[in-house]
Amino acid sequence: MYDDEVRVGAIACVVCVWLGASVAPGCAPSVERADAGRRDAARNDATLEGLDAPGLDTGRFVFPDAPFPPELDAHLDAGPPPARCFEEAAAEVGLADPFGPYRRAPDCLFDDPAHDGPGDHCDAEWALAGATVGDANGDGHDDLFVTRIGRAPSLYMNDGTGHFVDEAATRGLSLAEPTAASAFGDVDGDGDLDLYVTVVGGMSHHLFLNDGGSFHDVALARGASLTSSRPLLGSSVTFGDYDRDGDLDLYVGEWRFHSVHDGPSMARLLRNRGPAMPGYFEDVTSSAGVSMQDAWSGVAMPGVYVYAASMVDLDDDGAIDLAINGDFRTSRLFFGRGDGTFVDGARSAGVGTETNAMGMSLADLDDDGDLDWLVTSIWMEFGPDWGNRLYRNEGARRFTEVTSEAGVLAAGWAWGAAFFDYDNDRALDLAVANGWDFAPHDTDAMQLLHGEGAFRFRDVAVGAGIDDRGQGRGVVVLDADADGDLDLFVARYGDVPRYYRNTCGSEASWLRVRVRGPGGALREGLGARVTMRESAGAPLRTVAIGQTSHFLGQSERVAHFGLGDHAGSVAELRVTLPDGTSREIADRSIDHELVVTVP
Amino acid sequence: MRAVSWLATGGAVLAMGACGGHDGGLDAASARDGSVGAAVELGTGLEAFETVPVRGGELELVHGPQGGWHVYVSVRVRGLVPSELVYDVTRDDGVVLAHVPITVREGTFVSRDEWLERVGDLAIFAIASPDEVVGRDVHASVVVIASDGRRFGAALDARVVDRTP
Repeated sequence: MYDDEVRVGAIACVVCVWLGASVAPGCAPSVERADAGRRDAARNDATLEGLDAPGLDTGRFVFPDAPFPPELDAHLDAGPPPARCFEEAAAEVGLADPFGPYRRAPDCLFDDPAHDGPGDHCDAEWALAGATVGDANGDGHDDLFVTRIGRAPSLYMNDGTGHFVDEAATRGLSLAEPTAASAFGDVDGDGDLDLYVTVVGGMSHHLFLNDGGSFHDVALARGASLTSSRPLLGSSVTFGDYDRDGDLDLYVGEWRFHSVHDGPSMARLLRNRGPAMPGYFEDVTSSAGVSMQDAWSGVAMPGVYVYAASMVDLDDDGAIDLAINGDFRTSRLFFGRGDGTFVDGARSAGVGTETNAMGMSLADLDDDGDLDWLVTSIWMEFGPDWGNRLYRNEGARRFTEVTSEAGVLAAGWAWGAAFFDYDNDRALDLAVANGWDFAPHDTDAMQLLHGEGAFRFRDVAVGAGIDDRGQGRGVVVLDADADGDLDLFVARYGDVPRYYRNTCGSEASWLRVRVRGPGGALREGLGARVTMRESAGAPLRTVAIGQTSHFLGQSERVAHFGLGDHAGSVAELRVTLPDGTSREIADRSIDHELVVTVP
Repeated sequence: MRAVSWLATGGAVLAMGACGGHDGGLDAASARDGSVGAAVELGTGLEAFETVPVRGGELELVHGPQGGWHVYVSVRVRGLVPSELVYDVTRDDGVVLAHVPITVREGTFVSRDEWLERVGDLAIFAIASPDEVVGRDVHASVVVIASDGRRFGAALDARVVDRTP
């Protein structure tokens, strides 16, 4: 689908009419007089050298007539009342196990009253609570793995009707230590889903190989444990095939103040050693050029602050890129060169402007074939740069921020997020979990933003049946009850999770496509894109499998298309694999889940 | 240090600000005079721009709710279109406490009294404990890169204070 398309970025030039009108006449710029810091000019000039690097663009942004928040409330409140699509059913379906105790100072995992004072490191664990979706036993139904602190994680097996039973203990996933994030992937290419789990406070992460639905930890033997003499503070983990050799590589995140410990960064890129040694890993972080060791230098606060990451081809050049959400202005966008190395292009791409990047979701919101990027962050009433970011992909490694006009700026203290079409009306909607132990964010509401056209959203959460003011963190979507609409699972710190069963989406038409390969990266179609045109003249819609959510877990790996009132079959349906090969799908009927088998 | 309070930020943030270094030959008064051309002023404040003396002012240390310690830095300009900012804070012994490059996004400078103001950036300090900075003097500066590539700057010397009750 992309072979015959060339997209050229169109970044707005700067013409600051507003500035000219607001600055007093006679205020012609004067470097000499205004260079008030000349006492320290030499140092400042030196400081600026880094900013003069190739690719840095100045003045990309057009200044509006007013600061951003004013119209937001009206924008969000407009529109008809939403359909009540969700009912909270965690207890009914067997998912209501508690997260564990809500710890506060001086009982947080890393509290050291003698050194820092109680509560100074509660941050590390307050960010946690995740879940990941995958078919752990190969029965065709997506299961759910839930990470926790203070309680063992759960592997909830789905009976196919959206009811779950925790079988973690009997399937080899009993972990006593606090767990942060997880991801399913077939690392050894044997056709079943293995599981990577990051820990907080432990000394090794875990890689569980799947053997007939039971799991055993091989992380240490296979070079994936990141074993440390000091406690690990793992964050999100993501699979992808960055070297395009057909097997799954791994990126493991870390969020850690150096005051917890000042060892080297454990945010690492691990390369799967491939056909000779499938499922064995080598650390290629430095040689690939994706180290976050010095990322803190941008803010001069020692530490590593990766909250989420995705291996994804954002510039459609066939090479996998590595998008990293970093706290404290440390986000990076490493563009893949195609030779196993990367170059950081965040600044020149116009991304990474958020203050505290946490969750992310990637989707093609405007049907132009490339992926747009939502980054969640902290919203504060005062101060610049707070809030989420929605970056529209313009192609050619350029993005334009469309956050405010899209109505997604001010979510709260925002964490996990997921684009999904919950009402199957064709437009992607957005779920965002919020909350922090800091007033007024201790009662932040979860958002459900209804898509009302490309880059335009309206919060309908309460009306749609999502009324949650808990400490939401990880958000994943799946069609747990196989009825054609997408359900929502929200992991919450210190609390039972929420499971919002979708009760209305199946009233509209839909089509779901799973891409299934024999093993490795394509076992779940990671890196594949599914394109669909509903009817002649309709937009060509694109779903990149595996990009729905990335904060402490992953959503189902399915291309889900809402089709509204469409009847009959769709006009075009195509699967394109990471190697560029593309295939038309003959079965274009709707209201069912199609499994496309690929070599 | 204090934990930042959502409801009491305005009253809790200590006023400070500066415009230009004396050694640079431009004092605060002339910097605010539109007739001199482009101007940059460094200050503090969370809800509104607050000035401080070029020397002898104070910066209040704040414990960030998601961790770390910071001071608020603010900047206002006239006669230029800001495109990039770089805040730097250095302790009196030369240790770099904060280096914060920022790409200016739309709407983050607002017009007020013939100035364009950007208020409430966080200069997060490279410290493990507030003891490393409380009571110490620091040199704070901002460099503003205009959209036409010209650079402007302002700086001040201040003492870091902890106003935690």
